[in-house]
Amino acid sequence: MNAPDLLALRPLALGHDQEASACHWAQLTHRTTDYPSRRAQLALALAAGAVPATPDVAALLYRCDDCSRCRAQSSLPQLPDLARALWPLRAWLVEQGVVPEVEALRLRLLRQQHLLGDLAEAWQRLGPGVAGAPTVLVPDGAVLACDLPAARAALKAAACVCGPLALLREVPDSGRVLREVGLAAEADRFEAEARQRVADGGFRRVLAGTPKEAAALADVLRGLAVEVQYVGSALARAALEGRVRFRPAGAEARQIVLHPSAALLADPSAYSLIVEWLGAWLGNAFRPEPDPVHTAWPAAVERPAIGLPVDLARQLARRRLDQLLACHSKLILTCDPYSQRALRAVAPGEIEVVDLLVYAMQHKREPD
Amino acid sequence: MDMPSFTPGLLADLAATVGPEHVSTAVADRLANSRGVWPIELKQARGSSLPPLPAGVVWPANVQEVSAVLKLAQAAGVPVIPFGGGSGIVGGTTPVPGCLSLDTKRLDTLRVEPTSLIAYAGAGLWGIDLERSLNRDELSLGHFPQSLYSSTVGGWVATRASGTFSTLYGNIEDMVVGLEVVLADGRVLRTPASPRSATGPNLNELFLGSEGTLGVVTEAALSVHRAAEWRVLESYAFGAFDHALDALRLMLQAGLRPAVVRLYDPAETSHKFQGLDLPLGACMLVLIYEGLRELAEVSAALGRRYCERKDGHYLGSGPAERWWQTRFDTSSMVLANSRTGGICDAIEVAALWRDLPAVYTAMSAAARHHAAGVHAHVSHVYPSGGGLYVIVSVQVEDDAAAVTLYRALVDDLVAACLNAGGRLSHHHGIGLGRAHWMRAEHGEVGLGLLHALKHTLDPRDLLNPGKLIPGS
Repeated sequence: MNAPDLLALRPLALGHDQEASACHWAQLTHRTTDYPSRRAQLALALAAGAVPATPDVAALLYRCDDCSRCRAQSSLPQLPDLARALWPLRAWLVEQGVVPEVEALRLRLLRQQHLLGDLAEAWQRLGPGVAGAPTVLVPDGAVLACDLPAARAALKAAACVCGPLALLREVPDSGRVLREVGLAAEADRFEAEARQRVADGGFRRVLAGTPKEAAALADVLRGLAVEVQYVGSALARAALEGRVRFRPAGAEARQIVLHPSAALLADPSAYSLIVEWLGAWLGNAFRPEPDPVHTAWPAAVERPAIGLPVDLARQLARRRLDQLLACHSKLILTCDPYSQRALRAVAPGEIEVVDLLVYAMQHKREPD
Repeated sequence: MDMPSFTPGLLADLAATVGPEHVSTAVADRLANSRGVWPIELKQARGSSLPPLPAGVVWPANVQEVSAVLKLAQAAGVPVIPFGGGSGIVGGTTPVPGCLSLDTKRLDTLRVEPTSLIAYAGAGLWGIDLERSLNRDELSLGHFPQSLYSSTVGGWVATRASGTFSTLYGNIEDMVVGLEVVLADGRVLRTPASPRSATGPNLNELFLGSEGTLGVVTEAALSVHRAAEWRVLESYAFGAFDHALDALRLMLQAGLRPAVVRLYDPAETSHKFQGLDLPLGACMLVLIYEGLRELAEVSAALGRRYCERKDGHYLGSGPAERWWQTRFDTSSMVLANSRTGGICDAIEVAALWRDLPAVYTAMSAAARHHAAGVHAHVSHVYPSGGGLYVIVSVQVEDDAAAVTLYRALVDDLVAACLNAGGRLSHHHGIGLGRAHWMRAEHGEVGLGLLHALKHTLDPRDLLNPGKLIPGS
C-alpha cells in the first residue's frame, strides 16, 4: 500500500492559519504542530516520505476529529476536510506498524466481532426487537459497550416515537470508528454489512443511538430509500409536536446545560431542534450555550483515543467542563458515551452528567 | 534535513529549565515552527523535501524561564528565533542552521487594570483570545489585523503591526504603554506602564518592530478602550483614485477619524465588489466610524461632505457591509500560493500624501512590467499620509520559477516605491524578505545606528540573526 495522495490538503497546509486558534488541541498544547494547517503540512510531508512514520508523528495525526471548529473559523470557501483526509493516512500508518494500539483493537475485533469488545450481553438486555418493523434502531457499539442504560433509553425513546422497532445484532453501528482509527478494510466490511442488512430488511427509517452514528449511517446508507435520524432528534420533533410529553421541570431546581457531541453541533438543524425542545420542556432551567459552534469545545475524542496522553485528555475535559459550568449549570446532558465518561471523570461531586435520552425517559409522562 | 546542532548537555539543561515536556527535537515540532506564511516559505513547504528546520523548539512558561533559556543559548552560542503565532509574511521567523525556536505561546496570561484600562497581555496570547476576553468586560483593544485569529501579542509588538481599525485606535505602537523584554544575555527589562514620559528616548520603541533581533518580548501593557457603542458603515464611489485620496487627506487633516478607511483602486474595486453596478474605472471607498453614537454619526455626516466635495458618490452601507463580512478573508491569496507556479503577496508601503499618487503609479507600473496581476488599496491613513497595499500575483510553470520571479518583482516594486518617495514597509516588517533594502531605507548613518544597537544588545548576533538588520 502506498501513502495516500493528500494534495487536496494543500490549501489548508499552505494557508494563513486562521484556523489555528480555533483548534482545541492547539489551545491546550500551545504547540504549532497542533494547528490544523501544520497538521496538514505534516501529513503531506509524511505522505511524500520527507518525514519518517513514527509513533509520535502518528499520535499527532490521530488527534483530529470531526469537530469542525477549524472549518467554522476558516475564511477559505471550501476548507479541505482534514479529519477525513487523515483516514487513509491512518490506515497507511497502521500498515506501517507504528500504531500498536490499533493492532490491539483489530485483534479484539477479530475475537469479539466489535473493537470495543463482546456486545452479546448488551444485545441480550436490549431484547430481540420486533421482526418486520419498518424502523430499525442502530444503537452505536460504543453505547452498547460503555453505557447500557443509554442504549435502553434510546430503545425506549425510539419506540415512543416510532412504535415497534427492529434490532440488527449484526449492525451495532456503521463501522465509522473503524475508519477513523485506520482499520479501513474492516470499516469497508462493516459498512457493506450495514447497507446490506438495512436494504434486505426493507426498513424505511433508521434511528441511531448517537448523533455521530446518525451522521455516519446517513453516509453509509446514501442512495437507499431510508430516513436516518438520531433518536434524540426524533424525540425532540415528537415532543414539539405534542406526540410525546414530559413532566415539567418545576421540581427540577438545578440548571441544566447540553453538551452536544461534535456531530450534533455539525448539524445545525438537529442541534437547534433539540435546543428548542429542551427550552420548551425545561423552561428557565435549561441554559443554552451562546454561539456553541464557535465556542464549545469537545469534551473528549469521540472514539477510542490513539496516542493521546491521559493528562491531555483530562485537560480537554476540564476545559470543557469549565465552559459548561460557566452557564451556572449543575446537570450536564450528553449525547455520546465518550464525552459523558470524560466529563464524569473531572466533574465535582455536585455536578451530575447524564445521557440526554436517559434523562428524557426518566421524565417521560405516561399517556393519560 | 538539518540535524540538531546543539549538544545533549544543552538539551538536558533546557529540559531542566522548562520541564522535559516543553522542549523538543521531534521533527514534527521543528517542521511546524520552521515557517511563517512568507510566500517563499510556503513554496518551500509545497516541495517534497523538508525546508530548513530549527534544531529544537522550547516553550517557556514565564519570563524567568525565557531568561534562563536565553542565558543557556548564549552560553552555548546557539541562535534563538522567537516564534509566536507564525503568521509573519516577510520571513521573520525563518530558521538558521542549528537554531533554537523559542515559542512564546505558553506566555498567555492576561490581567486588566480596570481604572486606567490597561491590559497586561502575555506575548503568546492569541489576538482573538485577547479580544474576546476584553469583550466580556465590554472592552476592546481596537487592533484587528487580518491575522487576528493566528497572530500573537508578542508578534504584533515585534513586527510593529497595524490593524484595520488603526485610523481611529492607532497602530500597536500607539497601544503599547509598557513592555517586559528579555535581553539576549537574560537580563529582564521592564518599562513601567505610563501614559507618557519625558525621561529620555522611549525604550518601548527599541523593541517595537525589532523582530526579535534585540530581545524577546514577554508581556505588553496595552491601552484598551470601552467597546464601541455604535458603528456607522458608509461607502462611496469615486471616478478617480486621486480625487478619493484628496477627500481622505482633507478629512484627516480636518481632524476626522474614521476607524476603518479602505480606498480601492479600479482593479481591486472590480475584483472585490463584483456584482455591483459601478461605472468602469470606479474606485470604492469604505469608511467605518465607531465609538459613541453621536460622535460616530456626526463624524460620518462631516466625512460625507468631504467625499461629495471631491465627487464621491454615496453608495450607502452595502459595500462597506460586504467588506465587513469578508474582512478576514485571505482565500484568494491562499489559493494562489497553493497552486504550482502561483504566488500572490501584498507589498505594503507608506508614503506622504504628496507622494502617494506617484508611489501608486510607479509600483503598479513595476508590477505590470513583470506581467503580474496587480491591484491596490490605501488604508491606515494619517494627517500626513497613508499605507498603500500593492497586491501582486504571478502564475508561471513551476515553483522555482515563481520564486525567482517573485524576488525580482518585489525588488522592483520596492525600488519603484523608494524612488517615488515612499517608505519600505508600513507594518508587515522586514524579516529576511526586505532586509537587503534597509540601507536604502535608513541610509548609512541610520543603518550604522541600528548595527550599533544590535551590537550592544546582542554582540554575538544570536537573536534572530539575518532578520531586519543585515550584516549585523
